[in-house]
Amino acid sequence: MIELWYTPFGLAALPPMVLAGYLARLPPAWQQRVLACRRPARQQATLFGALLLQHALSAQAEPQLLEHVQRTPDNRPYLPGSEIDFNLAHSGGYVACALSTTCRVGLDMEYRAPKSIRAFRPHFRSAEWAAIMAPRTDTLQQFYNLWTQKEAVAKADGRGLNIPLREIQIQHRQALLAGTHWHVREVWLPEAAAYTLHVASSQPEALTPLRQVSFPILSSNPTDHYPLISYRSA
Amino acid sequence: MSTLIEQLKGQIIQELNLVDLQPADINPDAPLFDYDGLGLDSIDALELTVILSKYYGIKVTDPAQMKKAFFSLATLAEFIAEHQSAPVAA
Repeated sequence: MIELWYTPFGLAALPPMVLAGYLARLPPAWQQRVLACRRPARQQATLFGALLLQHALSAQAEPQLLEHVQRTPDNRPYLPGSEIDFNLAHSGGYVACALSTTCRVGLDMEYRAPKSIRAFRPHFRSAEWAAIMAPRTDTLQQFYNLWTQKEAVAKADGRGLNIPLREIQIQHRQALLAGTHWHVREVWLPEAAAYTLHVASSQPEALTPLRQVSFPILSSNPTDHYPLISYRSA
Repeated sequence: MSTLIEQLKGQIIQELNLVDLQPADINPDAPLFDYDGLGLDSIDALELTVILSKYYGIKVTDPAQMKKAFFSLATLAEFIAEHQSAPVAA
């Protein structure tokens, strides 16, 4: 089973007291990571990504594992010694999380911003580009459809953009990378039709529905779990 | 080099549609992709290759080879200075 969660967030900076209330729920290392973000939108993506991962771990009765998240040299977050694999993705005003105890997972989400895509041609194989440019096709939608599949596989693999995306071959919801097959599924973001989201997994595990999580504003009071690192201005 | 860095700031803000940023907000030595820098994402990496081609005539087919150059604005400017053969009209 692959558990799927998401949450919306705003793009403007949070008032300091609101931010402090959210930060108090996170372990100190995550607080520092959030506070180090220089752009408000990036800060919120990091903050709500951490809260979402904490929620997903809580659903596994393991919320304390958030403190033990580490990163590979290629910057993929993981839980050492745990059977839990997870992946986070954010775009625009949404962040999503995939978690599994039985297979490796990768997640990519993109807001389908209008863009000139011709310069992206070298990153697609001939058949993929032909599908993007096919007559009567929504070219932009097909571009993001294939892009998020490749990116989800790159994130599941763990090397991210260190893999030339052209080496990830997408065909009929299957992906092939250096002899390894990945299963790729599209997931619909219920309230946001302008986003494309794909999950890649090492096994054809069933997906839960994508469930929205809301995080009520909390105050940073003494009942919180973690000592609060002082808020500093960006 | 400082002129090139200032030029790059404007081009990155415009081409990557970073509407929440002013050129002065960008520290040339801050990481382009890490959370404590500009926090760019994977599509942005490919947009950077478009900037290199469009404004500086430098063709990059594989962003994976650009890890060092894409670390910060300063390293990107160094890469451009080393590889640009002739200025390209924007």
